[in-house]
Amino acid sequence: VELTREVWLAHIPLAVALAAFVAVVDAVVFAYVIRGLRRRP
Amino acid sequence: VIGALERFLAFRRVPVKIVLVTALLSYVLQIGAILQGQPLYVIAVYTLLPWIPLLLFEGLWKFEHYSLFAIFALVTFLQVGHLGEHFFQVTQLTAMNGTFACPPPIDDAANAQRAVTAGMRTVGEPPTFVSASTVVKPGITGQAMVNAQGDVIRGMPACGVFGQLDFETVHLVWDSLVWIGALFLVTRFPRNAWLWVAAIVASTHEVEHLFLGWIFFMEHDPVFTGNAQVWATTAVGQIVTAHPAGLEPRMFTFYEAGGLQGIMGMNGLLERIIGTDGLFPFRPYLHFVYNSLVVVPTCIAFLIQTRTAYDQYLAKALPTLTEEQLSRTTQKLQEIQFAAGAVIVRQDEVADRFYIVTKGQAEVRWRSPDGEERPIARLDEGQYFGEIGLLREGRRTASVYAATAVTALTLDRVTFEALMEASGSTRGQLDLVIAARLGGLDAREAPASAD
Repeated sequence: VELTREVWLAHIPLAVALAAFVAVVDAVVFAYVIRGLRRRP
Repeated sequence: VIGALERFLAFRRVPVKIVLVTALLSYVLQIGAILQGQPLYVIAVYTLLPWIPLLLFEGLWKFEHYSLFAIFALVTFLQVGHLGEHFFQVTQLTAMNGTFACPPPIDDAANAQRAVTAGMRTVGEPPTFVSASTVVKPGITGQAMVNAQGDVIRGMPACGVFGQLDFETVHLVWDSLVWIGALFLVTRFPRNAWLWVAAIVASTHEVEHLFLGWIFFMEHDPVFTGNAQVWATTAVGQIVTAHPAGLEPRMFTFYEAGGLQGIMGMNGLLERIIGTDGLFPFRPYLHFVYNSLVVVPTCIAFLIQTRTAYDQYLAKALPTLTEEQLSRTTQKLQEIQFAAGAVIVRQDEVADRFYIVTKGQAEVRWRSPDGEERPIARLDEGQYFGEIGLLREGRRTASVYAATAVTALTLDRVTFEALMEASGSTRGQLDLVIAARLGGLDAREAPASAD
């Protein structure tokens, strides 16, 4: 089997899912921090 | 910042003598390893090894006194070392004829046999199982590349100093810890904008490593055709040289066939999506950039945070001081140690310092007018004394002895008085403590006077 462009493109959902996972974790942590900052300006 | 940094980095628990002995030992081991002809990573290990217990011991002091700021320092320190590895890898590639063969080829049975077949090694010479520290640069055919003079080009495996650690599991674990560490530091130091920058870049880097880790661990079917570089290894002592021995047709996993370039690397996922060819940086350069973009903001964030770093014992003893007052006063703290039984302050002497006990236990003894000295209180870690003499009496109203070996942080009179002037709330807090302590003394004195 050749490593074609299609093989690579089949990995787009994986990349999107992993990026979404990291973004969600970041969003939760950042929201927690920002809430804390608003409470203690 | 420089003063605060110097103060933070100075050895506090480890005596200067020990530091000098460690430096000497490290130097001797380094020279020994060089004279033995050891490879670079062994020289580096010998050089660093003597410092590890000393840094651990000192690090504990820093953690006790600076708490989370010490963790921040540790993360920054480790990350600078990590970036150093990436920087060295890029230098090996660009300026030291380095070959991107990571982890470096090992002098195992197969590689040794190829060298025997090529007549570079005698039959009876057993493999050493040591990593190559020299690599002869391969050309496109998989055989040794030659320069204009017809000589082969020798260089290092371009995998940093500790190339044996240059594999996907290590990258995934390390960079995941960096990502989690950066987010944790943001929660602890939320007003430090540079930490947010570091955390956001670390997140981007983490996406890349999760992708690489996923394809490395989950897509292990070797279904792609290709040619693998093979090596023949020779060994002289501990120095192993890897010679290119051609290309061998082999089946590859997705990772091996090119997936290791990841999302943003040369001919990686993003390039395949947009249709360019070789426009993006080759993996070692890309990850050097990623790491620089994490480590530089981390260092800036650390330096900024240094300005407001303060000793936890001071903060616990005088909790109404502002962060700025705490950090400025921390610069003036002096640590003094007393052996068990030693007199720390003597009753009726002129008061000149304020003390906070950080280790051990001190005993307060009061000499009544009849001349008898009695213990009246015990002071544990975090408790303070000396404030009455400085703020009220001018002289010590009681003696304080080291009940056990005692370590105390102290402030001189001038600094202490300036601090009390600047912080009315702290002065109020101390006045209450003074009133209670003097009240206790009066109560003891009253029966004596009545007598």
